[in-house]
Amino acid sequence: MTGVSRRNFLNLVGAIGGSVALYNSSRAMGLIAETGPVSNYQIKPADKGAKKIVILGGGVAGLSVAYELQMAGYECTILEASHRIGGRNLTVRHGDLVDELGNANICKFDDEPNLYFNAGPARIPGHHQRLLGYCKKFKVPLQIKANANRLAYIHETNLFGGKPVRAGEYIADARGFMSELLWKGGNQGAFDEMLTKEDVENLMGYSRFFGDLGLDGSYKGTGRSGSLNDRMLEHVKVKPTQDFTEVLKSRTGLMAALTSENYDWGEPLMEPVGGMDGVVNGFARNLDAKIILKAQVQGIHNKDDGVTITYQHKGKLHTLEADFCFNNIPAHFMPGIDNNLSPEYMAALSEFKRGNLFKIALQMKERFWENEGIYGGISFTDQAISQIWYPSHDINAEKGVILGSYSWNDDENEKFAQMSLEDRIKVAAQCGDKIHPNYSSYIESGVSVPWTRMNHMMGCGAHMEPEVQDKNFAILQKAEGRHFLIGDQISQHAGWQEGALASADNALRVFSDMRTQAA
Amino acid sequence: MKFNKQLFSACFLFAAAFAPTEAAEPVPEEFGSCTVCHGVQLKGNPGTGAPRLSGLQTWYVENQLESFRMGWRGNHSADYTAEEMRAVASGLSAKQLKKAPSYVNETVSSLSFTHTDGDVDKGKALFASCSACHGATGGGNEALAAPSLLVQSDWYLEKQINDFRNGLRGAEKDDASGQLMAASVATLKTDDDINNLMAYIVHLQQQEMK
Ligand SMILES: Cc1cc2nc3c(=O)[nH]c(=O)nc-3n(C[C@H](O)[C@H](O)[C@H](O)COP(=O)(O)OP(=O)(O)OC[C@H]3O[C@@H](n4cnc5c(N)ncnc54)[C@H](O)[C@@H]3O)c2cc1C
Ligand code: HEC
Ligand code: HEC
Repeated sequence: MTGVSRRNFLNLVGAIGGSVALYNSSRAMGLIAETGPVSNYQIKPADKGAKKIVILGGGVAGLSVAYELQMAGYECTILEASHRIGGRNLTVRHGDLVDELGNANICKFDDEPNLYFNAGPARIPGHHQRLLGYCKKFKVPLQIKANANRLAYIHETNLFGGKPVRAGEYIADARGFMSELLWKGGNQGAFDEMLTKEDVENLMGYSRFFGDLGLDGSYKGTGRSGSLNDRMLEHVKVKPTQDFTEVLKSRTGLMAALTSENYDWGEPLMEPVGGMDGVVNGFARNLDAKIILKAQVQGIHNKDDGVTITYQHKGKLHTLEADFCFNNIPAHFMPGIDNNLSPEYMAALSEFKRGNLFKIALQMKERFWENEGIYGGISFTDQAISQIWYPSHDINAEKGVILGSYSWNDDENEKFAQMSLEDRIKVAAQCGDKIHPNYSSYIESGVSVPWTRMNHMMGCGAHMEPEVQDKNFAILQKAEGRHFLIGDQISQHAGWQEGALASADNALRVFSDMRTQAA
Repeated sequence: MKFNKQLFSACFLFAAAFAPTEAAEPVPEEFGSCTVCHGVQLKGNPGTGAPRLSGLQTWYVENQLESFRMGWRGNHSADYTAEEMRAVASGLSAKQLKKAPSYVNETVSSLSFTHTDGDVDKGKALFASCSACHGATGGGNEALAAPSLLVQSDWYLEKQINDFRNGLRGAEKDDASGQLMAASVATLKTDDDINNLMAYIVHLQQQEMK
């Protein structure tokens, strides 16, 4: 491009075509990578008729809207029902209130900075560039968080003798046996109709290395699983393999094998140093917005020239008039809040279902797992707890907090939700004992967060039946009057902060276009 | 749970007529959490499964809080939302328990409807067996511990009737009132019966609103 710098060109397009044009041409020019930050996005600045913004709920989506609008000269107020901002971005430490409805309790972990529990989000993959962009901007220090760990375990009550098996051993066996089948298939001509002779030769060669097969194409175990002896001083004595039939049956093994395959779990993952709420604190440090805590929104009313919000704070009802409102409140609360949104809009909102994730964290008086060679990562089990996560941070410290249960099974999570904290810890302990000897004897205290029962949250993550999602999202991702819905709930990536930020990004784009068109 | 559009149109029509500030009274601090599930002014929220409570009789509220606390209600693991209410009831202080009935009773909110397609006449016939306890127009009878059926959200009443039928409510040994009610749903054989009955109860509710 001659004469005009890329930046100037973009400003030009932005002025003519509105922000969507800016955004699209940035993508076209490769300025914004497919997975890259959307920081070149330009919001139409505030002016007399559009200045006051109210944001309902201070989750990461709400916080990012406040930050972006502040940068464009708007005056923002955040109304947050809870005693804290951050929403599901919750890190629990010594003395913190766990605001579970009917069962509020205080975290009894030791007062140590390394003993914290990321009760909501805990990992960030490299392609979540919106989130990572904010971390960079706000100087939120990050560290690598191990997700997959070949020395962690898989455990199945009815397979492998009920004993924990190292994930790496399982993965090596699974690959070995699969590769053996491929090799033999090739050798016996099974692919001759599909592949050329050369392809088949390559396939067999590939399989041999992929699975560490013998020259005859058979799998008889591999040094990749470790060794029965001290492999520093002697030749590796290969461990016997697991039974192939059992390998095929193991769903936890499959999970372990796939932990780093899922795009959002692809190694290396990251986490803020000292707790995920580093992200929230980063926003808080950089926001001028007025943040009102313990302000429960009770009414949302669109008018021709603004919005009226009713909320309760310190025992009194207040009304707030603003030019526009961005609504971060979980959708399942909306039918309980007075509003004049259209029936169509409310019907679309009502299709959200509450999700019920549950996590429990245990303070361990010793980092016994490190004596087993496990530094970070996840063990998988078919028991109620499903997973055990080991901390990647503060290795070799005296104590550590591990995640003692994290399942995607609604029924298991609901069972935990229905127990007392003591019983939750007891069940987690019993399950853990099947994986690590004397696991329960190390537990000093526990904290649990059943997201369906958390005050002002009542669920994670919101989801819709796929058949109705597109139709409803088309309604909800647009503005209704001066009301914009935000939150991971209306992204295709509920359950990830990046989805929440993308929803904010989208709402701001719609907002800016609307203002540009009105001008 | 599925809710049809009528509910929302009913809500909407009402809300539109509402001046925004008419969320009336602030909630007493100790009952703020009730509105998280039950909605502003306890108007009910199908999204959380928590019914409208405005105008519920004080003695009945007292009974139900007791019932949850005793584990007579909300004691079936498959009934997620009732379990949530049980946890809340169990966590209430003596002071909250004392004040809750009048707080609940005095809240003011709109009533909305989801049931539109049942046969009101057939429903009326079925309701004959209910009126012995709940009264001819469904206003309730304190002497029999049978509540008014005119204030709760219809989707919720339907769930309760089914809960009684399926042994999720009124099945505990010491829950005398619950058992009394559970024995009375035997007359309801089919989903059509329930649908028609609900249409009639909605009719009674609408009569009451006039
Ligand atoms: C167990 C678990 C694991 C997760 N793991 C990850 C992960 O590893 N990585 C990742 O990136 N993400 C993860 N997530 C997802 C991430 O937490 C969410 O995507 C994100 O925090 C959602 O932000 P949000 O702004 O959309 O909404 P929320 O955080 O839900 O914010 C909503 C806000 O509205 C407030 N509110 C509610 N009612 C009212 C009212 N009436 N008035 C005013 N305010 C109100 C709430 O208090 C809350 O602050 C996980 C979530 C959970 C629960
Ligand atoms: C966590 C959500 C939640 C909270 C918080 C909550 N409730 Fe409930 N409540 C429910 C649900 C769900 C039901 C219906 C249960 C069922 O389906 O059987 C219910 C039912 C009730 C009932 C019985 C109604 C009837 O017609 O039988 C009363 C009374 C009640 N709640 C009072 C309260 C009060 C008072 C508070 C505040 C102290 C409160 N609730 C807080 C969820 C909640
Ligand atoms: C023998 C007396 C009796 C009869 C007959 C009876 N009920 Fe009830 N009903 C009760 C009592 C008592 C309760 C309160 C139960 C409790 O305390 O848990 C109740 C509760 C209910 C509730 C729950 C209300 C709420 O707010 O949760 C519904 C719904 C209901 N009845 C509907 C009916 C219908 C419909 C019929 C007729 C088919 C009927 N009842 C017949 C005594 C009766």
